[in-house]
Amino acid sequence: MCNCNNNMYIPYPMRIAKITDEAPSVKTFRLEFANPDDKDKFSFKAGQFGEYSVYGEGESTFCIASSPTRKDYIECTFRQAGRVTNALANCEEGDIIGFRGPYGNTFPIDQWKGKNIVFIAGGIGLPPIRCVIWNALDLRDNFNDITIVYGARKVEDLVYKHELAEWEARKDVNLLVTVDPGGETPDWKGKVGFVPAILKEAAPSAQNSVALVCGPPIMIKLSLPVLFELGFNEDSIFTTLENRMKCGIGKCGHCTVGPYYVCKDGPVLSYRELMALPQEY
Amino acid sequence: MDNIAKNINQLIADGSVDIFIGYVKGNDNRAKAAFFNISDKVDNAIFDASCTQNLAVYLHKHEIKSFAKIGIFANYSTLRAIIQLANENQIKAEKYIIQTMNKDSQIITFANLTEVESYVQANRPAPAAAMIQKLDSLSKMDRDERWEFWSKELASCIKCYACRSACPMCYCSQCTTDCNQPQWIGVPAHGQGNFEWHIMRAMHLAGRCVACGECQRVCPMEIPLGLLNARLNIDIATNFGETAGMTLGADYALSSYKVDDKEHFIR
Amino acid sequence: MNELKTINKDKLHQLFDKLIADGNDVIAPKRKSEKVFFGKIISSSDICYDYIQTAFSAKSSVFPKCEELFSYEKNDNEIKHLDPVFSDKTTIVFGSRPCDSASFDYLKVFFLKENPDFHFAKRYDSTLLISMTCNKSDEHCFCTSVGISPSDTKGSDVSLTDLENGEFLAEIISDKGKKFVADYSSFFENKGDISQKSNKNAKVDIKFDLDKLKTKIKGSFDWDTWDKQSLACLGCGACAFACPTCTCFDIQDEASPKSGSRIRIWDTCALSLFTLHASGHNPRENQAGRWRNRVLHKFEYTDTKFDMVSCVGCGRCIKTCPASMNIINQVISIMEA
Repeated sequence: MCNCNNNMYIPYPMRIAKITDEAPSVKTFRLEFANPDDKDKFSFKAGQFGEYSVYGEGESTFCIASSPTRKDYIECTFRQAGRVTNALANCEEGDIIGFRGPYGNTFPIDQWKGKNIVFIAGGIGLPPIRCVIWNALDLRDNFNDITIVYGARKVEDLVYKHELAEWEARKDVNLLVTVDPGGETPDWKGKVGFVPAILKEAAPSAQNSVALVCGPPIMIKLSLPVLFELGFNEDSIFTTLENRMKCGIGKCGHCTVGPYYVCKDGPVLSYRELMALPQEY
Repeated sequence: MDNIAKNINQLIADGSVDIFIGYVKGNDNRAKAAFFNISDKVDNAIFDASCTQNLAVYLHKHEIKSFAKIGIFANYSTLRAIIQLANENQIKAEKYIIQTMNKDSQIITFANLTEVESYVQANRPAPAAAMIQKLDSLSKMDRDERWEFWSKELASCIKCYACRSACPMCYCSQCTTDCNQPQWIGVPAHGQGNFEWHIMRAMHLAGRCVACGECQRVCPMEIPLGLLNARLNIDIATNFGETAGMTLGADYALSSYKVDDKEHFIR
Repeated sequence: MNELKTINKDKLHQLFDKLIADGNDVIAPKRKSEKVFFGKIISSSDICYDYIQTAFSAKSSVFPKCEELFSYEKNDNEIKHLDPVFSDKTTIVFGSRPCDSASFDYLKVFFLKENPDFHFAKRYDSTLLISMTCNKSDEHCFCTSVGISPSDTKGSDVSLTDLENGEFLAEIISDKGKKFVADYSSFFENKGDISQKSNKNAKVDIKFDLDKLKTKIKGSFDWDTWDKQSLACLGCGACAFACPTCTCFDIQDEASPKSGSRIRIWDTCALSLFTLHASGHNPRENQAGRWRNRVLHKFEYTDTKFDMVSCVGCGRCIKTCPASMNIINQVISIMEA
């Protein structure tokens, strides 16, 4: 007998506690467990993701964008792109949605004590990184310099605008926010230029440092040479993959990259691990 | 078969084609599509009664389309599909060298689509007796019996989409069944979703189906899908006098209006 | 040494009719028109014996084409999830070939080793596999190339061999099989001679050397053989759905917002939609890549992951392919590259 009595496909019911409009078609949900027992059982680590569902419409995959140090809730940020994300966008505060997770591996943040961390993100690539940023900031003494380079196409596309202001105001964070040339507004006070160029200008030290990169493929592609030039190597650069996913637990087969299941073996990997994979991401 | 190979070799050698689509022996007693000059040996080329696959399906496959000059050794239904694809502005005749083999084993090279049109009109085979018989027995059933018949047949559909993939006229870059905003067709392969899928597909092919029978031939579950298309083909021919893939430049019966169109079915 | 018994055809049919009368599902080969499919029988007279291989595998008894993952009822402030209801009766699968039965060993590892799959486990626990060794084979059979034989018993609970004299030799393989045979002992005779089996079983030629293939296939990802071999592929899911070891699925909701169910449905890496991102980016952007994925998954990826090649050599993908794609030809082209 297999003696398997745990139906892993049943989600936790979550109440939408707060909805934040981040950018056009981009929202953040703060979700609280509808059943207190679920909350007590639940824990996750930076880099993990989940399956969020609207009953009757289906499930969609996003990272947990809040920090594991904030235990009363989880947050997710999503862009309206399909059937489920559109249904999610139509939800209101107080509504119940489903959540399965946490799934996947984690950023090895425990191994980064005493190190400098460089966060590089573009557009909607900030949410997975934001989880680690807050995790690091909530345990600020554990880490050395923290540098954040974040860019979007236009000013309105920048997500977490209030938090960007908060990080800007902190003396223990070096924040560089940029928009693509032509994407600036008249009152824009940040940088103008592409992320790789701003990264090069900021030139964070690679000494005793790790870099986390997440964003559009072209941004990643062009940021990597800059990082290597600065002295980062295959083992000090990390990213997180996003492939189409359905089950989140290594069964449905959608997210595979060669023998690697993004949902189970990933989504977090070092540059060295990424290079070992076939180009199916 | 030597003359087929010789002919293909010549077209490749003189640069008339970059790729030549024909047939070689496939699994069991079926022929399979061959892509000479790319992946198959010309010496293996065949053309006989086993060559039933409608090769026109490859003309809208991305990997094939990218070749500048394409030769194709077409069976009868492939020729009809080519006419219909041209009528629907899916292929540019200049790009193709179209050949077939007539009853006397002579290779025919068509100079243009008008010659293809004459050929398909002159060589139209009689409809299969078994198909006519089955259609007859279906139309003699009352509605409940027909519903029963199709419910039973379609229940076994697994939504592998072989019918769509093998159909020369299913070339939409995004199929209605793959759209989910809104979800027109239920994804699951069960009763309702299967009905929605096959009825939608049959309706999209009404008046466009070239009656090659590929959908039925390829169905792994042996669902007699051809019956749906054959019925609609008869209705279109009866009501609008049109048969897909037989007349070059023909309008699509269901999207064009003629003053003398019958309207008796509008109630 | 497995316990041996015999059962004659009349008794076997009486056994099936009793099992059906007791409310169990009996899944057996049934002829549709040209092809033979596994299907639920209502009487032993439905069984078709004249087949080399059923068109589809027996996997649907443990992994159906559509199945409910859970159902739910929703009110304003409350949501209730319900597990699907599984029958407490046994599903008897009769007539699976050794390749098919061996696939259950793989399915068991795939679904249960990590993150055990509740639905598979429930179905697997209530399924009994009475397999039938092969007295005949055809040109598409290649079980012997992947380490399985026409007389194999692995994965079976009870393995029968048609002695072609109205009797079947029954090898009792698993504990489940032992319990079953003990429960229905009156149908079986306590005799059996294993030497009768060897001259009844089909010969299947070895078409490729699996160990050599496993070495050669590593690093074949960028070869042009995939592009060449896949030109005929039409990108449907017939091969994967007929395959005993293809396990991919989609998850969909079917419901009104107040109640309904979440279900899973067979899906396949042969379809372009399978990997398409919401952004429009498709990591496996052409058919060659999709065809390659399926073949590499069988011969390389599951070997890396579970130390098991997941092709059982049943030849169904070859027989069912609308475009005569042939996995053996692909494998041979890799060996020759």
